[in-house]
Amino acid sequence: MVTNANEEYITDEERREFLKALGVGGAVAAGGVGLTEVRNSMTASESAGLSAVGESIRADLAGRMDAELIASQQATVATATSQLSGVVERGLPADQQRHEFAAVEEAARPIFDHLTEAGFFEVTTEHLPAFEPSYLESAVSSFVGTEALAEPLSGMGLGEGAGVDMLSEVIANAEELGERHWVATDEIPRAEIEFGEYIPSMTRGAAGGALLWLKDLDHHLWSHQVVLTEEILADATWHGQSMAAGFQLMAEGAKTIAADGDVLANDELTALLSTGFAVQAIAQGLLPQDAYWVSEEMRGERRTDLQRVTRGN
Amino acid sequence: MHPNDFIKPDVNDHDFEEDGEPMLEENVHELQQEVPGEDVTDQMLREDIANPNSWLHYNKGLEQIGFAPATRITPENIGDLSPEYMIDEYGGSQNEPIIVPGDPPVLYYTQASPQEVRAVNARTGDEYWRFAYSNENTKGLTQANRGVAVYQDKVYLGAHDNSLIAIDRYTGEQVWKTKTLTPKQEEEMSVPERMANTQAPELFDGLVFKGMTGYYGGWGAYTAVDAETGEIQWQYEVIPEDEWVGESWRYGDASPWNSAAIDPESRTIFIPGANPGPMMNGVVRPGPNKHSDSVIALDVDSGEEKWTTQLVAHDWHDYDTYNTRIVEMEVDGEVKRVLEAVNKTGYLYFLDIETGQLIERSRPYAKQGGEVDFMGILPKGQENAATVWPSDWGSTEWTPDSYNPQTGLAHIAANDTVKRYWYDDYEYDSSVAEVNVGGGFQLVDYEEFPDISAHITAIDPATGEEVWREELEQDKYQSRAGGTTAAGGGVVFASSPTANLVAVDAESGERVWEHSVTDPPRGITAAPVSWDDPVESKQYVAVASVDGIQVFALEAQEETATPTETATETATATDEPADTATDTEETTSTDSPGFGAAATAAGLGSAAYAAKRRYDGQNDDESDET
Repeated sequence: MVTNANEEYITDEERREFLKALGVGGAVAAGGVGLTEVRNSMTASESAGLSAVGESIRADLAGRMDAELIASQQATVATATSQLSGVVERGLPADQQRHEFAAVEEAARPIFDHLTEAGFFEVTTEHLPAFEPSYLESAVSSFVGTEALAEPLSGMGLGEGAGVDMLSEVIANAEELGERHWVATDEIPRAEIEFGEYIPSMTRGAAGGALLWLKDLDHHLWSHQVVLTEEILADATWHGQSMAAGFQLMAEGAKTIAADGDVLANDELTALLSTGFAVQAIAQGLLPQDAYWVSEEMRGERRTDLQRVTRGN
Repeated sequence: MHPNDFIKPDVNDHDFEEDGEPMLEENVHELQQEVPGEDVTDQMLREDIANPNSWLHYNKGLEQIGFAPATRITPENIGDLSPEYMIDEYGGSQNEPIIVPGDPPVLYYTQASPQEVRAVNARTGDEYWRFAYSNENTKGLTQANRGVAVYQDKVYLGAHDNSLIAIDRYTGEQVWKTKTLTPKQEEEMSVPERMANTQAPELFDGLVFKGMTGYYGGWGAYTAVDAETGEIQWQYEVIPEDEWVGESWRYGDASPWNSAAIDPESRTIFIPGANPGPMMNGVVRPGPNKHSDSVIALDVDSGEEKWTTQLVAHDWHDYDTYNTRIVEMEVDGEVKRVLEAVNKTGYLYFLDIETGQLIERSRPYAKQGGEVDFMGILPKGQENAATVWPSDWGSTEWTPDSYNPQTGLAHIAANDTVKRYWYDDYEYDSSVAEVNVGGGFQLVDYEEFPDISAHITAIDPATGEEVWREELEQDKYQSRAGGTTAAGGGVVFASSPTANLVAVDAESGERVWEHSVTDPPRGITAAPVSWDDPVESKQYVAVASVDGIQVFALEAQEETATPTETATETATATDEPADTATDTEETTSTDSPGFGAAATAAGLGSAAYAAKRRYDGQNDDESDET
């Protein structure tokens, strides 16, 4: 029985690539390593260019968001997400649809709505650079190097190695993310496209899409359970946890801006937001291919007792 | 929806006229002779599935199983099936004619361009009347129409411009017209004229149902209209705004473009949902994209949503759901009515009719995968184009398929098709009706892909296995087969990409008859319809093609058997031909006109028989009806 869904999903090779990107190399063993251990093995992280981005975002959003509202809902998100650690053990829903992933979405929705109203997504899309692999490596490296940035992940029921695995996934999928239109707003010719004004800003797409998948997942696991397996359930759970964690990191960045304090430096803020958006975007790209687009090879053993009905001809 | 259904890159219908396309400034009505016969009743519509003499719903019966109960044509005598007449003044190839029983029976059909409904004598093809409709500006999205519905003294046409038109079925005169765009579409859609209509409307208990076709930026809706007055009873917007990010729903499409099965017991309509838009660029529409590629169960009276089940979430491949059917299966020891849904992926899906939960999925009946993972995200840019099986032509396209209640087998005319795809920036231009799917595709060299094929299959819903397969001749330019129709005498009709109408033995899959329908050979995409004419002692078969509607007939004595017991077969059956276990049979002759209860029940399959008993309120103790 898989209990920590990430442990089997992320390969040691992916973990090693992640450590290599951070310059840690073989200093720490790959499997089960935590962020603290990685951080202790890192030399000074590279954060050139991140500071100006963070400064611009902070300036544009000053006074537009409510830190208290975000903080209170973050606690609810953490509580709901912590329940996901038992999903694999509980198995596929038998008779009744459960309300586990949707509970995370419901907890996160007020934050999302508030950030939307405040213009948070437009501002972050405008100032964050294209998520090319080199940029992602830089942002992730900076994220790992600052202990406080991973703090929002505590209390979410994630295992010891989950943080490393989540970031390993970002590095492993950085190229795909860069290809899938993860670009700054001004690189999309919105004015020339009839529906350009309705295309979600890219950061809004990352967070909003993640919430929609979380909202849908319980129903999918119930309605399609005959073709699903324990492995698919574990993968779905891991991607659900990742989307929740990415959302929580993003919300932490928003709360920091709203609090208008010096808790985080500008480069740290950029690293936090970039990591949060990247985790959400990647997890929602992987979720359908691992848990929705179920091929004949992936599907579970046929277990329904079916007989065809014929009547005389 | 397939791009080839809509290929007119221009601004309005008048420009088509200048380009040589027919365009009507006003409706045209020509009456040669009033149609004989009587009104089509609710009882006739409910019993259509069981009536060998009628074909009153698209794909036969409210349950849409595509099964003709007529039994004169058998594997043994089908060699005598021969052309009876041809309706050759015809434009449009996707039509499925409607047959109203009588003496003579009447055949109603549509053509797409110009858009017309015609009524003819089903025995001879002699025309009673024609009604040509002058569409409002449709942005040129006017290339297909699949037929009409009929009820009481009217026939109903879903026009290209999304008008629903009631026509006097006896005289061909327009009675009323109702525009079915929703208020939200009218007010908030940037170019509502882009929404078109291709499907045949449906009738149940005094309501007419129709969806619409999208593809160009917009979103779909479903509408129920009072059949007598034309008043809209309810409308259902397919896309729930709050399940799309921001306002991306505005270009989300998911237009329900094909006909839906209706369950008269639970009074539910099961709408097949189409692909999200833009078709090949999922990046700009994050999330599952509800309710694209779904089955949507609505209360027929209120339009209230009962359940939805999405078969392909966040689709990149145009893998629409396009057919729903109500069939019977034994599930965990209990005979149940089950909803069968078909999409373009190459699976049949069997859903719990009450909840929408997936009961089982068939094994693939068509090739899947390629250089892109099955159902996976497309590569970006033409330089990275990659092969995808099935292509957007689908393992099957829009063509109606059939379920044979005599054998319990589903019959699919399937395609192994491949193209190279990529996604890219997308653009809609409001001044033209340009197809832009958010990416592109390249046709492949058939010699490079010898696996491209088309075939008729029999699928055991219980095991998901193919019971038999009959390969169809391939065409260099058209790799798609037409729809299937199972018939009560033990044959299954389908058509090859080379435009041969083909019949196979329902039990063995062996080809027993074929006839070339078009010259030069161009594809048939519609499914044939078949009906019995007891006065003439003939069974007819009609199929639409690009050359016209070809009608065949065979004169023979009718040998029918009345089912008295239901048989079930275990799910372990795999490669063996269907065992159509018959128990006590009694042979009767029904060579008499009319539509009596005995004729209805004779020789019918489970769903048909159950439908008959449901209506009559009979209590058959040997029934497995639930």
